[in-house]
Amino acid sequence: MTLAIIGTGITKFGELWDKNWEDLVLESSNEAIKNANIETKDINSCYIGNMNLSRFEGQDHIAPRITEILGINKVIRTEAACASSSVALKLAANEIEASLDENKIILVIGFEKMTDRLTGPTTSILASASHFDTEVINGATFPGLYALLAARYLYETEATEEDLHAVGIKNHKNAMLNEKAMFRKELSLQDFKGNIASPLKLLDCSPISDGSASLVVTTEKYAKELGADYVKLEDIEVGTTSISLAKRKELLVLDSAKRAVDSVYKKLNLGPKDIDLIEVHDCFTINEILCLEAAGFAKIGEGYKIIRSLMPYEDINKKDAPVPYLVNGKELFVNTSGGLKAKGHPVGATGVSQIIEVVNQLLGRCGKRNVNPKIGATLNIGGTGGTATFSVLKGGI
Amino acid sequence: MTVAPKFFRLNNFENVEKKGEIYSKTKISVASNLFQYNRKVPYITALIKTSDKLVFGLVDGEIEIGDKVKTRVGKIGISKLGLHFYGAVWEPEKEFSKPTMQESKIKRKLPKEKVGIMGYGVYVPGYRLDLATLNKVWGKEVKGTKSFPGNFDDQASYACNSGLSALKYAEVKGEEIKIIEVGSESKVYAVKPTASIVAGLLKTEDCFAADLEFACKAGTQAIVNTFNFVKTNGGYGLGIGADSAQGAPGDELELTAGDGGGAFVIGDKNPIAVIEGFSSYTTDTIDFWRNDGEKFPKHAGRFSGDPAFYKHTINAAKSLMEKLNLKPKDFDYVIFHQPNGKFPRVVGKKLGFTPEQVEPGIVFDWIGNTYSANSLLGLAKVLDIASPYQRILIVSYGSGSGSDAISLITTPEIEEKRKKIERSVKSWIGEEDKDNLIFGDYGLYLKNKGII
Repeated sequence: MTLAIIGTGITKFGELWDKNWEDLVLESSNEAIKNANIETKDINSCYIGNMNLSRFEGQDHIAPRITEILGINKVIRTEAACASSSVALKLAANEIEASLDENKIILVIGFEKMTDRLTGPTTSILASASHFDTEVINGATFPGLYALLAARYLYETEATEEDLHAVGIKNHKNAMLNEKAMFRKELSLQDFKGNIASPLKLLDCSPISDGSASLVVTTEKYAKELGADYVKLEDIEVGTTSISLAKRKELLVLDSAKRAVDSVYKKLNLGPKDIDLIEVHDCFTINEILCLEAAGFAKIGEGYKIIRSLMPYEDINKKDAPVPYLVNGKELFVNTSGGLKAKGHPVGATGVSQIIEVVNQLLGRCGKRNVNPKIGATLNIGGTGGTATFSVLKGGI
Repeated sequence: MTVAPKFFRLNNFENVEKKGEIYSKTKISVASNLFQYNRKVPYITALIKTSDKLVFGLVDGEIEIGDKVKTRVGKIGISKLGLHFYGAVWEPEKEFSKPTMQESKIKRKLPKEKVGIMGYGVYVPGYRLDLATLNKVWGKEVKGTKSFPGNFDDQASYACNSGLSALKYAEVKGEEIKIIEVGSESKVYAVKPTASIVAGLLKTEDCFAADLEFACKAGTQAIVNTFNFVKTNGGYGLGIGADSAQGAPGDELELTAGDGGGAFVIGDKNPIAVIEGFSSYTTDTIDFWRNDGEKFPKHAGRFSGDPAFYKHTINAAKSLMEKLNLKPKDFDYVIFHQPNGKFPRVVGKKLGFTPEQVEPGIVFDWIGNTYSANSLLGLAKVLDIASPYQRILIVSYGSGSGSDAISLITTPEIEEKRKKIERSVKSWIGEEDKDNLIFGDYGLYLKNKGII
């Protein structure tokens, strides 16, 4: 059964101090429902991805609160750190595939309201997505854990801190063209200063953000019946591996992502060369490189060479359109939305927001940043790679 | 092991006594606030490659990928419930100066007593306050240095680290320790023993454990009690003195109060020095005290001299010498409590000891008065250099007031066992290996002491 995404909705990402989390969920879901040209009563079930409303706002048992807000009577909440909402989409896909009802419509929501807490508590809440007893207790923070990956990567390869910064410059450039993005400001190499966790500078890190993103999923058959503009969700797969960095087989390999990626490529009988556009999990600039390696665009330890296709880095901001990498002579657009780095990273919303960018690119709805891809993909990472979700999407019409 | 509900059960000694190599490292500048870490940002965390696996840990000291590191016990943080928790802290592996024996022609006769010191260990943090700093702040014209805590140090970490070293020296396993006594007047908890933290570290459960307090003499009490316990119950004992000595800002005590710990394994298996006797002297004298709930002790100034320190030290020393029928010349070394640089030297003279007997046991000049640990550190410093068959007198003093005098005679074991010591007491206190010391300003001192 082929799945189709028939509606998307996304709030602006940023420090939304004038909005509650319910406002964000309502805004994105109503927009997705409207965009799908359906009504709330048409929705059979809802999956909602959220990482930590319980510690950000003191609220657990989120699903019935969604019922209270939206009036949908079957809501299931998923949690997989920053991959919470892509895992929600995976469960929605499972439900549709397992169902005998080809007219099933599911709403998938992701959200996080992070800015109501100060930086210290927020850092500790996010750190709970790492190994509590060994990493958190010993002072781990997420920038700290990714900094350990970055430090080792720079030690083992020829990559430099500038290669990391170039990822940020490119993604900020892309975000200039995305009105929903949190940061719409061009960067230069000179802006990268002030260690958050060495070698990562403040601007190597994605921001603490509020936001929500929603999608409407159904079968391709029903999408056609409805006469909707849709995108085919060719496949979506989840992989997990040990949560602690210390217990990874190889520190610099996103093993969970590789499992998900390999499974999808095999099932669809395609490979990285077929992909025109990918939204990857650049929570820290180093991770765009690790994601590109895990998704097969470069060998392990050589992802930085893809970044170097943007050289000279001073020229990244010159064009008024997204700048592609060159991978084996072919253009590859990565994070045209601005990525987590510049679009923002409300952790529970990120997975769905990545899918939305690819859907809108495939449907040609991205205005100036449209790059006319045929096949798009997303790679969403939870924590430091404990969970990963990989999806491939194709235009439906 | 630590037994408690999860959020109390935070001590983790799994990686203690491990070595490794830095695999990756970062200096974190924005910390999570999950625990009220006693350290302040930035702090360094790392992935460390040990012989069998990668582990995650905090690092004390500047390091690069590939550097060799080892662990010690450190205070990792304080939970929101106010619980202090301890675990392995990694530090660069370094070479330190080792103790060297001072040969002596005089050979004392070993007593019949078989129980004595089987091993000892010390821990003194590497941070020093140049007392001239206090001149700038308070106008005190003083010279010298004293120790103060680093980011991962406190009274319990001193007890743990000195205890572990003592066990290693004595070649004793944790579970063989049947009594642990920790003398201190700066316990990390008002109620909750430090001795049981040490027991958890050593993984000994069939064990008597207690904290002791008698101002600066609780360390020798721990040795005397442990000695008596072992004589009647068998097994081995661990007597510790550990303090992060308190002195209120601006008070005279601030000029002297230092940090450190000393530990002694007591038993009858190949002792390096046997205890031939001890004597105590106690009166109800009020020269120095701290009320429950108060942060800093108060004292009676000059009254601490004649009626307090001198009277009790002299009486305990004389009483022991009388008991054992000994004269000052019968001792090779003598260690007195060192509340300052003057008192131990003057009381030595008053009792008829020569500077040659007194000076080797002086630690005050480098680290100040480490309260319960003070005379124990002096004893460890003497044991570092003593040759076999030498007699050592140690006389502590604790305000309130009392003195314990203990006489020991070294055995031939001391020569062989000394070879395993990785770092001399002279290095720990900074009389040697001065390059390892970190001199801090008054602000860092106040922060690390927990005063601000």
